[in-house]
Amino acid sequence: MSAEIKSLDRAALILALQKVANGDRLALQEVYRRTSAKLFGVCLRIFANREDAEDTLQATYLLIWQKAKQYDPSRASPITWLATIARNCAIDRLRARGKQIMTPIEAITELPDEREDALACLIAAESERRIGDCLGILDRGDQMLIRTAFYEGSTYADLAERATMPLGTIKSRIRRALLRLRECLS
Amino acid sequence: MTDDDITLAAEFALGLLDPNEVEALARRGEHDEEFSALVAWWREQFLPLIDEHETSPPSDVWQRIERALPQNDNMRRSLRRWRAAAVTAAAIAASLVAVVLLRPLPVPSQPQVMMAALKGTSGASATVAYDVTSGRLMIVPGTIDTKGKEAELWVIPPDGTPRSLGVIDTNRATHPVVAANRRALIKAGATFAITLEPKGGSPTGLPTGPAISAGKISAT
Repeated sequence: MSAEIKSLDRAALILALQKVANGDRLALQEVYRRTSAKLFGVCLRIFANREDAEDTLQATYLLIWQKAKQYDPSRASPITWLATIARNCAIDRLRARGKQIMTPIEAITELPDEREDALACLIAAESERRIGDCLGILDRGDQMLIRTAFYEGSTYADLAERATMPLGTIKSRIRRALLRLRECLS
Repeated sequence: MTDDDITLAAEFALGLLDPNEVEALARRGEHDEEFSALVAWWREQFLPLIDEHETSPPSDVWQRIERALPQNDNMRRSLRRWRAAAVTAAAIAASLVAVVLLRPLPVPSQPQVMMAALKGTSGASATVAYDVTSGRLMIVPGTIDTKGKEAELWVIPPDGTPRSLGVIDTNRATHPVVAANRRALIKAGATFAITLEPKGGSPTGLPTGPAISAGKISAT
């Protein structure tokens, strides 16, 4: 049943975005009601400071108001599109300020490997393959690099600096991890 | 797609690349459908990670957003119409929920709602959803100038021959039932299109006027 509710939620959100594209403020409020907790979560991951996260959230919905015409439901689900705007908004703001907020990623190489055993992997493979399960089969350091990239919008250069590892090493490590993820997810 | 394309699409979706690379790839995405589909795939995959951190924002954020929206002189006058439209759409959504919830045997592997966003060169737009279970369409017109004619909705299956789904009301959301012999044609990959026709719809059973808006149907 939840799959149907999800697809209706999605349909309702697409309809609301279409109305936002026509300048409907109530539709924007509807989009906000349905999505602000998710998008605020995205902003809070990037800014530990709530005030920055709130300002970013405000900027995000103003951008959604302007860009709703560009949303194409055949290319992305509405929530992915909205989350991408929130993330980009937050990352732009962060970059405009320089990197002073970035905290170091602690000793990625020293993290214990919590990879689950083969049986747990098989069970995970049998159930719905989701990003959480698939990240779980990577080693902890790789997992943390990818999560940091996702949540904080870090580039390869940022990650290399923060993990104090050579750029080439970070790149090849993440690329290998991404291919393993792809295999697990598809 | 090679392994390099797969990782490149993921790097782009995650924002790992530097701004120059991003710009070059954004250009590639404009003409390389397969690559942009791969980027979209990665974005969908990573999306559930945001659910781990849902937090409700304080209530004054919405008020700040509302205040910052561009002012509209016609606000008061249009408000009533917007409200009416919102109520209609909510009523339709509610009835669609009821229809789906009452369905006796769910078949989860099959998408139950088909959607298309119709767009046209002159700005005509509409959203059309189709509920497979009830055989009903949900048509929400955007701005459509019918130039004194009638708007007719068509489904165009892969064989390329448009089949009429009837004339539509361009002023309000409607919820018509699709004729039984047309239902199987409404599938992902087919197209919805709107043409301008004489009063009462096309006399020939095929479009006679210009197509003002069209969109590909996808499963949601």
